[in-house]
Amino acid sequence: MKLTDIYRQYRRDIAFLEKEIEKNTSSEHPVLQQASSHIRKAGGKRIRPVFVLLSAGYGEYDLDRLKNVAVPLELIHMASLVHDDVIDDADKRRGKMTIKAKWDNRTAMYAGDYMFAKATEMAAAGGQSEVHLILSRTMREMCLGEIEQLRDQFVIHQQLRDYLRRIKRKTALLISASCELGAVVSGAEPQYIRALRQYGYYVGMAFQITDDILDFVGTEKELGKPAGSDLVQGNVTYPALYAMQRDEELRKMVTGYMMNPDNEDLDIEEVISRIRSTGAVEASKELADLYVQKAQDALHPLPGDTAPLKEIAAYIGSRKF
Amino acid sequence: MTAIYDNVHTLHRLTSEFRHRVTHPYVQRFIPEPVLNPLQAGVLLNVLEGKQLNEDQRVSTALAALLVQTAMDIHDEIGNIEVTNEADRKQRQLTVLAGDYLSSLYYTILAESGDPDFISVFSASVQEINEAKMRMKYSTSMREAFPHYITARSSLAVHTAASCGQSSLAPAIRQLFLLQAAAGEVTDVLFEDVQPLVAAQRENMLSAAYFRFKSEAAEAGESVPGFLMYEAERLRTLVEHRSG
Repeated sequence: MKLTDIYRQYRRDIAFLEKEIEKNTSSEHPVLQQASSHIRKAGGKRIRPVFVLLSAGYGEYDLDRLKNVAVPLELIHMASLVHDDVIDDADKRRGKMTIKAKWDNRTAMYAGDYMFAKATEMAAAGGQSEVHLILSRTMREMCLGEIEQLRDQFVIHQQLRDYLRRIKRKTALLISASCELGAVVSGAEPQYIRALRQYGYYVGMAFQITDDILDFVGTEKELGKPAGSDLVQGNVTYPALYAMQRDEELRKMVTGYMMNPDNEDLDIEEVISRIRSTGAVEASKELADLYVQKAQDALHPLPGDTAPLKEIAAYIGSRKF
Repeated sequence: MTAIYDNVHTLHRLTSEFRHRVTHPYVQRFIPEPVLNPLQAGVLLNVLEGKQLNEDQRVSTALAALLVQTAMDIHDEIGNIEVTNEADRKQRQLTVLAGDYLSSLYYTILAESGDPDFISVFSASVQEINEAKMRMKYSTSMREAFPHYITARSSLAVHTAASCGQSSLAPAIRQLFLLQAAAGEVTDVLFEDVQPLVAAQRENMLSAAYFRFKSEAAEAGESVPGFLMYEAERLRTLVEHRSG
């Protein structure tokens, strides 16, 4: 089963959820309405809602109930992107202007907070306490992960475990929660819920590692932002970590910049070229593949055909953009 | 700032718990530790008495409201001026994240309280507050901005009162928060975007809040808690002292 087949199979349900997202990003204030609409139309694969739908297949599939977690998950993701653009001072996302660039920082803050409130309101409509526990704890961990990432910004001495802990909180937990919530809302067996949560965690890790690889192999047009942005912003990801352990000159270049980012320039083209030449991209790919494999292995307790979940995991580990 | 509440022990618990929750060693290296608004704390605890809740539930519900208010207040601090050095950038970044973190804590506390009814109440209020802030931001005069300012400051207390069967208190509560602004007890960064900023006009409108409060309290009758009446008098004294 291919990814396109999965999306085709769920086309109607995804379209329904898209409408619900639209409904739940509406506001009486015109600018808030435009800003919410702007981020919604910026697109994305709606991967979190898709994970909810796929996981719900292991219980009683009821779209009216599933929307109360699928939509909030996407709204939380969207709100975090809007705030991230203020954090990163980013003018573009996926090649389009960010809310902070099109309007201003404060509008972005209010729009993000507004979407977050819409998310919790919709989750409350489902009336399941467990949903709130999973969602709220995930959000708290995500925020702590982001704070941790800032703490580690421009810190050159980092280990693989620091990186893995960061990406777990930054990305993996929300995907894990998506899988778990789909199963919880559909009333799946506890062992299936556990398996899906674990699967989502591994897929999320693979997703972020792949994202971090793309930052060094993509073009500005493909990425929607300049290549190497992560490192320029002081975020040391696995490809950079791997490469700096093997190229002393590269380590010196990056260290010089990290020690004094206000005054030192980083020749990012040279840095990217050096990172690639160490085999860091291939090593990172191996790490992502390892997580894809773990994700697929986590599906063993599940009954029936797990091909769609396996396919999505494989796609995430090999996606080009 | 001072504020009284009949059950000092509960207020003390709430204050300690708030302090414990908002402190983050790394974040506080860059941004000041958030402080609780005692007026809001007192109003919340008072109106929550209208519902059958034990002390733990009252404290956790009021705490959640105070945390999400603080989260939104922190986000008001995000300005539009371009940052040019790493220290300022870090401060802005952590201001965004500190607000987000407190929002997640507010949600976690309500989720763990086992009484998720207030999630709907506060979610609606947070939406209303952000819409009010946007209306303020695009207001062209102070007269136009003031109703939205009152909403942004009082919405959580007003919604809480309504959910506890005390809707009649809403108008008086709204004026009380305006009076607090008049007394200078809260910073009004929200007014930054409103043009033109005519200080005298603003002072007049804020000062009138006391008389409106008295009128609204009279309208609500005997149901107005003594705490609200006391706070109105205290804040009036401060306003008079301030205007000299």
